[in-house]
Amino acid sequence: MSQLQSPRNRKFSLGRAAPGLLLAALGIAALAIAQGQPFRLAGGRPGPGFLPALLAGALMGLGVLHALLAASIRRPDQTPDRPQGGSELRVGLALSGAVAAFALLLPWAGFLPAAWATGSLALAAAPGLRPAAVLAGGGVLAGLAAGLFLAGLGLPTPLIGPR
Amino acid sequence: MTDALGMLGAGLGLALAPGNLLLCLVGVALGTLVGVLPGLGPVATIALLLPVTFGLQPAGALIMLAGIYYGAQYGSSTTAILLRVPGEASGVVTAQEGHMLARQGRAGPALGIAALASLMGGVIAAVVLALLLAPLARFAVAFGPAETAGLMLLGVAAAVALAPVPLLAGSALAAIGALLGIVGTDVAGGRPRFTFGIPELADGIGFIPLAMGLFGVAELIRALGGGEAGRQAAPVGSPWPGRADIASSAGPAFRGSVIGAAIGLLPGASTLLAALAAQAAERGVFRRGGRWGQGEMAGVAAPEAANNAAAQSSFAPLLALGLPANAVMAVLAGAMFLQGVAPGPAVVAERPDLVGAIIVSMLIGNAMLVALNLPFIGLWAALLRLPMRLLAAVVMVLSCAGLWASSGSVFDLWLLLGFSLLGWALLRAGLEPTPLLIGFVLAAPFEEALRRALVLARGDWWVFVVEPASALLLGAAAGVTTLSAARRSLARR
Repeated sequence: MSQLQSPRNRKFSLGRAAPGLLLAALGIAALAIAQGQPFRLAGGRPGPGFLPALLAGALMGLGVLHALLAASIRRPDQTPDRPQGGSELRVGLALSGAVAAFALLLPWAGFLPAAWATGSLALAAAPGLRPAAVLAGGGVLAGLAAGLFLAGLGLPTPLIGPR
Repeated sequence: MTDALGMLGAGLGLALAPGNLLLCLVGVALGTLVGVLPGLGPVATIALLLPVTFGLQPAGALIMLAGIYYGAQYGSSTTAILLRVPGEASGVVTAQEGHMLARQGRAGPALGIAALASLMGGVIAAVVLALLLAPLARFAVAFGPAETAGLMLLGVAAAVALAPVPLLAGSALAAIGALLGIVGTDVAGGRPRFTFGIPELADGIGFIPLAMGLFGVAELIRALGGGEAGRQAAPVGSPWPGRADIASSAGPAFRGSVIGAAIGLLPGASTLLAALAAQAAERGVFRRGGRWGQGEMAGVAAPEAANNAAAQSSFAPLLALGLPANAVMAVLAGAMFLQGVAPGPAVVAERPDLVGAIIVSMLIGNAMLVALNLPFIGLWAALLRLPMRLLAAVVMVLSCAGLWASSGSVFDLWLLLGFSLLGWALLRAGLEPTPLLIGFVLAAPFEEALRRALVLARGDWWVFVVEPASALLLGAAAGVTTLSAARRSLARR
């Protein structure tokens, strides 16, 4: 018997079924939220709850189907090709952090500090630059962005300080 | 023919306005830039530039965004030929033969042929677009709401079937996109849906943070995380091809243009598919005895003509039917909505100047691209030395500030973060987010068409099967899905 057909590979695997189960849970949650909306309006028109319920049902069905297929599949686990994990994790965290920093700092610290933090975090995403260079580069980018958006385009946002 | 000439005549003045010529130049130059630089594709660039288009007139905004798309097809050939790294997906086909030519010291002529073939593809596709838009729009105007709903389902089915994701995952992404697309105040009853009491969600989820996050920031994470910088390009030399190269490339470029223009019209088609089909036709039918695998010039001319032609002809389903054929068109559809122009047959009938201006700008933009690419090819190649880290930092600062400038909403910045994380998670799972974007864009018009169809049919659901065109479209959607499932099942065995 080949490895692909071995019974060991046919047993239920929660790990492989997890994405499908997650999808089905998302469908159940969407259906629960849609319960507050009328399903049908006068004249047979679909109500505001109709399409959400339809989509939630589709998600549940697709999720269960995915879970069943993935759990009973007759092949070894396959790991999708991914970019280098460590490097991508650093980049992902730095760039996500750059957006979060802008959203956090802009309302109370102003445009310049927000843009400086964003530029610095984005520059720090890849290794190789010294911290001083990262901060200086972020400062230059923030200055240029402030010149473009505040001085050039007249964006009504304080350069420094709360809105 | 009269319709086409009328449309082009109406759009000529608008396309030749100095401001729009400048925006066309900016668009094609930006497109070339993102095509040259591996890592930031046209979808990401257009998504990231959406806030900029707020201050522009609809014609100028669409001319610029269209220029980015077909300009990226040009630029992609540069890295594909010099580095064997495509700047855009369709460049992977050009890379096969183009880089072999570069290794033989013929990078210059290959780049020259790529630019001239792209020009031919662009011109032929613009003509096809001009000829087809009015008849297609008239055909679509005859559609009732049941047919419109069927057409949108077909669009989603085609997008899912052709996306490089498993069928179940693609369908789930489209459903999630549609769920996100209906967040906000229900247009029929005025009731809030899925807003969780958050006032900022009353108008729905913003298209800009969604597109910027899923495609822009996630694409930067992929590019920077993959270490895309610092490669050594092959020397360029003179980009002017010889007479023999031109003679041997004219036929493949013409055939590639026709194949690409035809494939671009199909819902769900991509420039990559067009380039693959054009190369397969040359290799399998027209030039079977060529130097394939060792540097065949037809292997540059045909795919380059095809990808540019497909990029432009894919505007036809969007403009005439309101159906985005791929992720770029879905982002452009969002840009049109933001400009107050709903894509679909009405825009062709009521704004022939706008549609004509887009087509004329394609002809002008393609000429600009040749002028930008051939003499300055060395300059574009030098850009390959630009550190990706710096580009990413500039893009991140401009994106956050641009989003803030366009919406003035901190909530949108948090949405951008959320969709960036979602895009990154999809990337980690090997899933391409196009079906989600198309589901998001089509959800609201689909729901509206569904409701109108049922009101007219007094709640009778059989209307979708009794109306022949609707039944045909639903059958086509089911057929596309079944064929895709069968093809994937066969491929697994």
